[in-house]
Amino acid sequence: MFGLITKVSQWSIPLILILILAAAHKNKVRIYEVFVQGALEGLRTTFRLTPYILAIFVAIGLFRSSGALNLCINIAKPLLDLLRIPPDLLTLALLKPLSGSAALGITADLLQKYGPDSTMGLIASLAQGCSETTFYVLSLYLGSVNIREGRHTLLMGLTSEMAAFFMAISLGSFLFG
Amino acid sequence: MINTVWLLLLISGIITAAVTGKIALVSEVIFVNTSKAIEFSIGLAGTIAFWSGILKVAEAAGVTAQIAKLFRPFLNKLFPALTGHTKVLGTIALALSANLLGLGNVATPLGLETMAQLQKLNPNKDRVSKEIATFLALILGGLTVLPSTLIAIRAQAGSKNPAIIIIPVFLISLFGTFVGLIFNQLAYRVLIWHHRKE
Repeated sequence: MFGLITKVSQWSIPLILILILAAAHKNKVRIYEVFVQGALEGLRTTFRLTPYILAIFVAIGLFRSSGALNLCINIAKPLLDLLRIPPDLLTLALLKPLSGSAALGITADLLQKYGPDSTMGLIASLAQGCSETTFYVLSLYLGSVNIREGRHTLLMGLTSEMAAFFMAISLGSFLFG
Repeated sequence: MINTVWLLLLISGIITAAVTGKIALVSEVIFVNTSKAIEFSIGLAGTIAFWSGILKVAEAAGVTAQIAKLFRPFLNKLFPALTGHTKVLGTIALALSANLLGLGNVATPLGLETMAQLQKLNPNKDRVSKEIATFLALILGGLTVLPSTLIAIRAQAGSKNPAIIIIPVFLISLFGTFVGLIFNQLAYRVLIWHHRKE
C-alpha cells in the first residue's frame, strides 16, 4: 500500500506534464513561446506576493520565539484539560493556520515523542493532514489580486479548521483509541 | 480583520519578549525572518513561474476546458454564476485537483491563477466576491486524497503503516470543507441582510 502511494505521488507530476505537452503538440500550440509568456506572468505575481510573505514570516517568528505562543497555550491549558485535549495538540492547532512548515515540524516531533502508530501520533497525523495554513493562503491569495476586504473569509477558514480539528480528535480516538 | 491579527501577533510578541527579559531577541528575530521570507519568495518564484508557464500551455492546448467538462456537474452547483465561463471553471478544477493530490508546489500557482481570473469577473475589485469566497472555502477546507508529505514524515518516524491515515484524512477534510461552505452560505445571508439595512 505504502509503496503504491509513493509511486503515485512520484508519477503524478511527470504524467501531468506529459499529458499537457502531448495535448499541446497535437493542437499545434507554440509550446516554448506560450510557456515563456506564462512564466513571465508568474514571476510578476511572485514579486507582488513578497511583501505579504515578509509580513507573515516576521509576525509569526516574533509570536513564536518570544514565547507568546507558549503563553497562550499555558493560559488555555485548564480549559483543554476539561475538554481532554492534550496541550501538544493545541500547539499544532494554533500553529497550523499560521505556518505550514512549523506545523509540520511539530507533527514530526509529536510522532517521535509518542510513536507514529500510537493513538496520540495518529490523532496528530489526522490534525496535520486535514488543515490548511489559513492565514498564509488567505494573505497570499487575496494579496495577489489586491483585495483589501476579505469579509467573512478569515472567519470561514478558521471555522472550517476548528471543525476539522475537533473531528480529527473524535474520529481519531474512535478509530485508533 | 487581518490587520488586527497582524497587530496582535507583533504586539504580543514584543510585549512577551520585554516582560521575560528577552528584548534583544526582537531585532534578531526580525533580521532572521526577513531573510528567510526573501529566500522563501525566491524559491517560490521559480515554481510559480514554471507552473504558470505550463498552465498557459495547458490552456492553449485546451486541456483546462476538458478538465472543466469533467468537473462540470459539481462546479455548476457551487458556482452557478460562472456557467459558460469554461476557462475559469477549468482553472478552478485544476487548482482543486492539485490540492486533492497534495501537489503543494503546483497548487499554489494554480490557485493564484484562479484568483486572477475570478478577480476579472469581480464587480468590486477591493472586496471578495461570492465566487472568490466559495473558491476560498474549497481551498481552505484542505480537501486531500493523497497527503504525501504527511505519509512521508510518518514513514520517516518509523511507522508500520504510514498510509493508514488516508481515508480518515479524506473524510475529515471533507467534513471541514463542508462546514466552510455552509459557513459561507450563512455569512452571505447575513451580509445581504446587513446590506439591505444600510
